[in-house]
Amino acid sequence: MNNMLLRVYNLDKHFGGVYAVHNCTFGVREGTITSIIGPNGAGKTTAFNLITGILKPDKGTVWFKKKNITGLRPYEVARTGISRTFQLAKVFKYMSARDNLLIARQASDKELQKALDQVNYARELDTIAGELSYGNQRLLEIARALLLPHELLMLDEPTAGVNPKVRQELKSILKNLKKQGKTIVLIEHDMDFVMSISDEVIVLNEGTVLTSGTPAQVRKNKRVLEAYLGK
Amino acid sequence: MASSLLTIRNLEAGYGRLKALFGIEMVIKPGEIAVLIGPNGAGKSTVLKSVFNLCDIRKGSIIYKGKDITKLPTHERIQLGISIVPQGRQVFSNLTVKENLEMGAYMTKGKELIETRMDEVLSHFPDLRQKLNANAFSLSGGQQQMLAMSRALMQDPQLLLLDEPSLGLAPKTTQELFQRIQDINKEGTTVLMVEQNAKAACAIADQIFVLEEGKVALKGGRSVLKNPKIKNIYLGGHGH
Amino acid sequence: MAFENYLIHLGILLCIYVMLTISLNLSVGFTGLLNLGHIAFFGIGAYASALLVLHGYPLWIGILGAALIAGLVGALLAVPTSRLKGDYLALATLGFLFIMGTIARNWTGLTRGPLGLPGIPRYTAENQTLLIIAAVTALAMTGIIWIITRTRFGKTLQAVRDDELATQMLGKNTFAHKIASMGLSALLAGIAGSFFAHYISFIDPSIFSSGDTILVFSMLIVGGLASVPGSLLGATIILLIPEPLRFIGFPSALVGPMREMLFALILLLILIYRPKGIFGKVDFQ
Repeated sequence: MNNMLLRVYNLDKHFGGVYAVHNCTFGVREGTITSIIGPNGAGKTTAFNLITGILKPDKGTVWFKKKNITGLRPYEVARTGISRTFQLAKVFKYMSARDNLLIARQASDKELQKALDQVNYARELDTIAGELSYGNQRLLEIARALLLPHELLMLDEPTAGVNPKVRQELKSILKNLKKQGKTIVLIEHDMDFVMSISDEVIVLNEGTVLTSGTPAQVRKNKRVLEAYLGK
Repeated sequence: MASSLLTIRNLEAGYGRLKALFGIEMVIKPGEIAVLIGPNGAGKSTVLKSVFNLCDIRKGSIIYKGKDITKLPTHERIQLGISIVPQGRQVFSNLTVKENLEMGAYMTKGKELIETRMDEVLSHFPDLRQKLNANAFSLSGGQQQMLAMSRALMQDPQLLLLDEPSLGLAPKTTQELFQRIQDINKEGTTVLMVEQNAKAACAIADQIFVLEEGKVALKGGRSVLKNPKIKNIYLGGHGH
Repeated sequence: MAFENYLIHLGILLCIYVMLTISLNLSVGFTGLLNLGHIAFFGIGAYASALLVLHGYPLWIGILGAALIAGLVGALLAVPTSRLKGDYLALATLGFLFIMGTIARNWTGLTRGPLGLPGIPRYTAENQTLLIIAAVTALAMTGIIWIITRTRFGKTLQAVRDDELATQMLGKNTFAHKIASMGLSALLAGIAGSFFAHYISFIDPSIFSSGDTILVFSMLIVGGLASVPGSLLGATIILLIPEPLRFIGFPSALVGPMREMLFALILLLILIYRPKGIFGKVDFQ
């Protein structure tokens, strides 16, 4: 069995008396694709933000490569080897695709072009990011996240808001990355996709882990569908 | 009485470049509670927004009481008797309950008319009647949601659109809220409601539409939730 | 002769405004910082240089002192606010401008208060030479900024402007970048201030004027945020277009208000027809 690359223990985060995340504990094994699912408001993005230092937990710890990274600032977390994308693609809209990528890593135009080809980005290195279609912005954001030296990739709803063609492209990209042995955590709502590609599925509900396991195990668990349908 | 209050035909809509609905077909009968459920990103809110002209409609038509309102601007739709309670308990926090309700009646002329209507609306929400002079921000989440709803009711709409009314509310509060929705409906207001809490919403629904990826995947009465396809819609598994 | 002198004077003023605009562009246009107190650093540079030289130090110490002191103050101002929302920096810098004016007026032991500092030594008596020095300095500053924006550091500044959070998630310490940007921007404004003091030969607390802040901001916006040629153009347009009014023969009482109307008209036209500025590619957020 592979090591746990990322572990979170008993994370608590509340906003004005309401718990967004409560007693949240889970781990991500090296070389696997783990998907975090759960109904709206379950705390998935909050968990991501706690891991990447955008939010500070009220309680609990985050461990990456056996080091305690709780409370580190986002740029420090990134430097430990975690790369992430956001629910809404965050590209530098007044800068070219090339410059967007260069912020992640110094590289020649040839390497940059390769990075873009890998994600099937359909425009040029010179195109200004703000002029791209949303789908291409998403692809650019992912290419940029891949260029940053990292050991863990965190993707927050990568397929949200993109057209079916780009959605298919994203799925093949993730399948390729899986073949390369990368460790990826993703938040996703596209269940077919989640179930087909994940090694492990973690179900969050009301801020805490409801259950986790292989896709088949999770689908069989009655409580999961109940969580989605409400009380 | 016409058999349809609201008919949506082949609706394709979205936000700028983002397309969310790919051909919605729906018929809502007068006097019923219709509920829209479905997984995240299925397009439920977009359907409501289309009825109220808050997003970009590319194709299809929306017919209300026999009139094609697809291209009608929002304020004219209000005048036709459609009211919306948007997501997230949107009340004017620094105004009192009474002032919020008065804001809801901005198109009504005549102080007496407004007061009469306020009285009628508050008969459903006795909690609010007690807090008429309290500032909206001091109300609990559930009370704020009821205030938002009351405000929408001040125009005495025939069609009330609710966008995730139970969002962020405790289960007990949700039950109370849904009870009130039923009361309002009994007095003749047709309700079209988008909900995350499928179970609670379906318990009071007359008609249920299950949305998936911008289309109506299932529809029916309360037994719809027992349909085995529900699992596939919410948890994937038909492999397409 | 008089007309020639007038042109030289105008030319030197233009160079100083170019320095102010291009240095402001670094913090506002390229880094997205709401730096409303830029003139404060200009004034600090002027006073620092004047005081150092009046107390016997050589000219180059005056310039160096102006640059370092203004730069340090700019950086320090950014420290408490760089972790907060942009509005805080706007408040801090604007407030700082007013505070500096008050200090200049009241710390009479140092600044002679409203009496100002007269008799500041010039580099040379020859105005023409001064014009050349001004032009060289302005062009050098422009060149430096242009080069900076093409370096890794400069690109990271622009990334901070476009999306600070995304920049952080790529491993960049955005707070340090913002502080460095403010510091550098202020340092260059300080140099402009030093030049001004040694040209006009007399400075007083009125140098800390918010009216000048608005003027420089207009030059920046008209030319276009984050555009280096834009800053040159913006300064030229705003400064030079009202100038012909002097010669049309309006009664002198009207010239002032007419300039202001023309200035407002230019701004209005730009905001309606080219809100990003003539060469700008970036919106004012």
